[in-house]
Amino acid sequence: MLLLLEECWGRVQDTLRDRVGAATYDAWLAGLRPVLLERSTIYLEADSLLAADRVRALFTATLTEVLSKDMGTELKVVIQARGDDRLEELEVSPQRPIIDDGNRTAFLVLQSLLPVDCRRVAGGGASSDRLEFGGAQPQSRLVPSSLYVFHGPPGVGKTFLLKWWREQLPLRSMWFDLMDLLRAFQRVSQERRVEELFDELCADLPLVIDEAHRIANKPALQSFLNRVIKAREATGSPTVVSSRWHPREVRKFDESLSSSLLAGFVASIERPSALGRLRYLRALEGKASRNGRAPQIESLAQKVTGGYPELRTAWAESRGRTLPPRYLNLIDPANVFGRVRDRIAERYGLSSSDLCGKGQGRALSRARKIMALLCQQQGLSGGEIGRFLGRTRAAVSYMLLSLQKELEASPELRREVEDLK
Amino acid sequence: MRSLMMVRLLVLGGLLAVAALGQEGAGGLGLAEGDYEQSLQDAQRKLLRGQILAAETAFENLFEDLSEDEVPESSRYWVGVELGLQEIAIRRGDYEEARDTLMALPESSRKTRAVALLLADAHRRLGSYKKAADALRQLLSAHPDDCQLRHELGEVLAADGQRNAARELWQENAKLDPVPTDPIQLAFLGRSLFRLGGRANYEIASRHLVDSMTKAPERPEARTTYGELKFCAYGETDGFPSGERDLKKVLDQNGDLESALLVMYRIRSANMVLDGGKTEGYLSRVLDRNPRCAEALVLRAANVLNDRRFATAARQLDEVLELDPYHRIALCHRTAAALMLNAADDVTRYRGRALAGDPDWPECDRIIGDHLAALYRFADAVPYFEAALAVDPDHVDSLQGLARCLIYTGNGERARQVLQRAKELEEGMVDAWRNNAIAVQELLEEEYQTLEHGGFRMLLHKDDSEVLRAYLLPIHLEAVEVLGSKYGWRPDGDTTVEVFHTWDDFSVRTIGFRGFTALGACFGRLITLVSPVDSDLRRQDFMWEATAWHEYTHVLTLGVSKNRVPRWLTEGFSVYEERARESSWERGMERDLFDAFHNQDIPPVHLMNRLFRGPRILFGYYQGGLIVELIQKRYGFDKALELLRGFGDDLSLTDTFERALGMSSREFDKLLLEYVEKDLLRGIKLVPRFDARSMGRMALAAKRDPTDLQSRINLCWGALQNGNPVDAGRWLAEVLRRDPDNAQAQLARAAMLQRRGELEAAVDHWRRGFAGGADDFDSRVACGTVLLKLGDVDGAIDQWQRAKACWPSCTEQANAPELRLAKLYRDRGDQTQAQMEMKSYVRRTARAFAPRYTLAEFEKEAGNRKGELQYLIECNRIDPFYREMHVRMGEAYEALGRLPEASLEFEVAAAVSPDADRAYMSPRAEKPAADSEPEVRARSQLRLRAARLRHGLGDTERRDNLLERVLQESRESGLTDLEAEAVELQQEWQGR
Repeated sequence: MLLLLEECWGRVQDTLRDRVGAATYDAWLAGLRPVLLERSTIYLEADSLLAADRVRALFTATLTEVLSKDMGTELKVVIQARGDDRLEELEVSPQRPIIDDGNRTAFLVLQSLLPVDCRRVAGGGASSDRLEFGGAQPQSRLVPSSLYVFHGPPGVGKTFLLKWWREQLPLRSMWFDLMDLLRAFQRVSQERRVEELFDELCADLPLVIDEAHRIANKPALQSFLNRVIKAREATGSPTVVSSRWHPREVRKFDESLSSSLLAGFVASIERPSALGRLRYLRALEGKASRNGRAPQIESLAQKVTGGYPELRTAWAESRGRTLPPRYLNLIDPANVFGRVRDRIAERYGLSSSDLCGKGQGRALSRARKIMALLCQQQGLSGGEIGRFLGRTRAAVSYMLLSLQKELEASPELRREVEDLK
Repeated sequence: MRSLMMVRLLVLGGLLAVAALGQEGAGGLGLAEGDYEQSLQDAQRKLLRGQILAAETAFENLFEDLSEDEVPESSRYWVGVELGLQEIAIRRGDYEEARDTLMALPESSRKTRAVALLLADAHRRLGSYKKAADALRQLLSAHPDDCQLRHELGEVLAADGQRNAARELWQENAKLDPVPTDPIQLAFLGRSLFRLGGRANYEIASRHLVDSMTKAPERPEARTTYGELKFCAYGETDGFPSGERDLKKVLDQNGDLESALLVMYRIRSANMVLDGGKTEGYLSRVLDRNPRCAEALVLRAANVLNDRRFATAARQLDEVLELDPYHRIALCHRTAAALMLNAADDVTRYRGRALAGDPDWPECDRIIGDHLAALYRFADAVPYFEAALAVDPDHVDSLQGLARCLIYTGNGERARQVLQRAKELEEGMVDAWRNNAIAVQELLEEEYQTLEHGGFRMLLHKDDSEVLRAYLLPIHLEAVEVLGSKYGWRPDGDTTVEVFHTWDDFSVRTIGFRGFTALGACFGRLITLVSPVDSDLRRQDFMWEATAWHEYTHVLTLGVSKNRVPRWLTEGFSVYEERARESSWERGMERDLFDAFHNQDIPPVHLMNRLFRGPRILFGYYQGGLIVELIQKRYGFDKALELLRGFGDDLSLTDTFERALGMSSREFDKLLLEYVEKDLLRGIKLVPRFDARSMGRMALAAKRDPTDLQSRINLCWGALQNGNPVDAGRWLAEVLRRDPDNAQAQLARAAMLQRRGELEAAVDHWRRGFAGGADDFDSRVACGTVLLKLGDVDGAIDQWQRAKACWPSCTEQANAPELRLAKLYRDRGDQTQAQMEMKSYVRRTARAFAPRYTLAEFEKEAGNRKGELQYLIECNRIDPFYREMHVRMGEAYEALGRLPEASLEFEVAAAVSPDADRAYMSPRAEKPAADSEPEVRARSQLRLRAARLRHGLGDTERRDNLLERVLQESRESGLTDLEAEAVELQQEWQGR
């Protein structure tokens, strides 16, 4: 429908220009973008809240009339601002593994270990998110083994895939990072309780051992793990091992353990294919139809090869952002002000002290007003802006009022401000 | 609780409904009908905008009109007026009046939706949940599609302990199809989804709330919930949307709405970066408008409880329970208060009431756990959080509370697992503290090495480990011996010490966020420290050894007091122990004490905890130290320990002082002031830095008494300190008019002239002032500086020598006369005098690396290796990451025949990497790469030197280890000559 809408929108431009006048059209309507046609409602996106409010107030009727006439049916028009503050995505990351050629085998094998009632239906492709609810069914494993070894380079989603699988399991499962297992093993060894850990690991529950390659050069743990794997074969409960390397390639590795692992089902997990990359990027980006970044996303999927962390970094860069830092901060008005001030100073080639100083030059004054507006949009109060700027609250109100007037008169200035957001 | 606050909003919706009713049935009242309608709507609009007084007047005017016109009481206008007036009554806390008035309305009126809603609200606020629920249920049966009624019924049931029934009602709302179009209904649909929680519900709720706001932008319901939802989803994390903005809009648009103010308070109090006074202001605003708001009263009482004023908190909570005897949250806090007061019977009674009908409610134990954690009783809190999780394993607040306590009791690994679980449960929600706590724990697991010895479990960064383990562990072991005997207490089990490579990591581990400026922290069995390698820290001449000593003292004070010691006292003991170990470990706060004394700003003991919540926290430490020092001097250290034991026995502050010292804390306050005045500040000649309150006091005194010259002189100084020469000139002129030769005024005049650049005139006035008997440290220093500028070196020396007498214990590096004189003597080539001045200064303060390092050089040149070593050891207490210093220490030890220590110093010197070396701290310094040939060679030579010493000492194991490292590095770097030397030594030694 977007294509149809875009065609229609292209057709009506001249009519709109005639109806509202060239100057008004350039100031307010030229910047609108069609984003969605759904249930007889056309969604148009304006560059800013200000523009959206203005168009909504003055031109909704005209737009409705012109677009309805062109489409030949009664339509409703909804104007929204870019970055409308709905909580559409609370966290930008996919919630389910991306399945492609690189991990399909592993996915299918893991899926076959799930009871049918909580297994995702493969009919619609591996990415289908329908669930089949059919009551408890006997397990139907794809491979006649209870030991599964998945290996692949870092960043291909091994742990993520296993975590997803664990979440699908209706029963409790046991999960150990190798380093956790090592710590537990050391502790029980000191306390002479190794057999208790052995019994715990041999319980009739699925067991996952992640980062298994880290067992290199730890002979006692290797021997213990070998015992566990052999004992678990008898129970038939799945034992899933993930490792960076193929069991044969792990250095200083006990031959016997290597052979035990190779006796199980061994599959590699590769870096995501182009399709996998595209799916991942789409999941990161959200609704591509609404943000209009489909070409950039496709191009990124083509260009960036590597694992998911690399893709995520490239995606963040493509949006002019960096990935979140290790530590998050609480909202601090002083930091918010400092960030905005520095951005404005850089954009207009001014110093921070000038922006907060007493100078009244035209360019400086305008930059200061824009800074106040951006600070306000970031949630600072007039009083706070005034305090950081060394001015009264009333002076800040006046600055904002005067800038609003300038913004109404100048589309260039509006664009300038929007670019700074 | 959160949504019970919002019931107020529903009444506004009800008012609109009455207005609508008015429009439908406006038929039979003749010409006045339109006027009534207009007046009613006008009053309702005012109420919606929060203009309470205006709305009340408008409702009362209409009331009079209706009375005069004898409009029947069953008329909808009467109902509208009563509804408005009782809504206002409820907003002011007159719940009983509102309830009784509404009950007295004719039955037909009572059955209307708006009246029934308001009546239910009045019942609920008075704890009559059943009546409230019955009224809402009855109404709901008549309006089965009403989201608002269903939501509110859910809220009442939730407050009554029927959580499942409440969730079912909210679920019913969530499943509504089609979704209502009315904005109020949408707002309550959003609210139900919000109360159900979870990512998916939040996303749908946000859409409904935004739609509601778009349709009715003037209404507060949706926006208030939306603000709260943002807070729950994003946790006020920087870079994510803030709920505060939405709440501000509600308050701007709808006045001081109770629900919005409470959410605002909740949001802001979760963000410690924000101004606490302003945050507290929102709670005060709620209570100003409605002094009987139970939720606000509970929040205030909870704060009081965390401030260790247990009895006051209990009293405040009892007042809430008089209002609403079934207020479950109040009952939970009351249980906590009873626990703190050791009232076991009350604990059982209040806990039973809090859990009546809902024994699996985890909040009670969670709230108790939170209070214990706030009081630093982390280990005591763990069982409560575990009990909460036993009944509800997915209770995120309990998981996070447990994780916090686990971190602070040294169980970081388990805490990470618990936090991961909380993160999984709150998929997609941002929680900055949780994120940071997990991140820092991962960092510890990846980059830190653990050293376990002598009751300590030390986590050291792999890059710092080799240097720090040489000094940090011994100082802790010494602390156990020395302080352990003094306090008569030793911890059982290990004490964990985490030494963080960067200040950021330390800060995040300690408080969960960046920006904590302390150098160390102790939580009982966990000590966190910043490594002295941190670049920001090194610029401040920070004494890591003093910090380690300080923090270990906390382990003891917390242990002796069973974690019940108030903050001011535990810090006081730690500061006291710093000085007790080394008199030069001072805090440079004498001037602050002088100012505080003259500004009458030394808080009494019972208010000292407040200092720890504001910018004067460092003064709180210092004052605490003075208190312990005074007790030790006057009554002996045992009495100070008795204070700790008193708190450990859960005595109140008054009882603790009575038991330990035989006097009340207020009597002790007087003693302290006397001690400060007569012992500590005696003889110090300084002009205090006057604060605003002092300025106000003095201005009043000056106004009252035209002959009060001292106040005028002080006002003149105060104005100068504030950069206000105009007022300074005015006050000075008044003094000089009455007494043209006033000596103090001459000094102030000189300071003004110096600012103007009239140096000769300034010197003239200083001389006149000093000759007239006035004296002041800063004036002497300034006068000396000006004289030096004018070329009068002897005059400058004279002034600075006299400045020493004005403040003999000054340790300010910028002003200390000794340092100025030392420089001046050095410039004149008089090394002996320069050294004497520097020695005199460094004797007083340990916070001076450069002077000590220079003095060490002088001592070496003079052949005093012992003296040299002492200065170098003192330098090492400030910065152990300095290779050259360790080499010098090694050589000094060697010269003194202390070979094991010498060897250790060479080993540590080799371990200092170029990245950490103080020698390369300057940005212009050319730092060699860690694997460059000169660097590897230097390192290996130091190790060979150490190996030779070890060999001489017969320590073959360490000798061979050192040789092995040399061999390994030289082979990897292709340094064959070094390799050959090492091999030769190996053969020689192993041959023997």
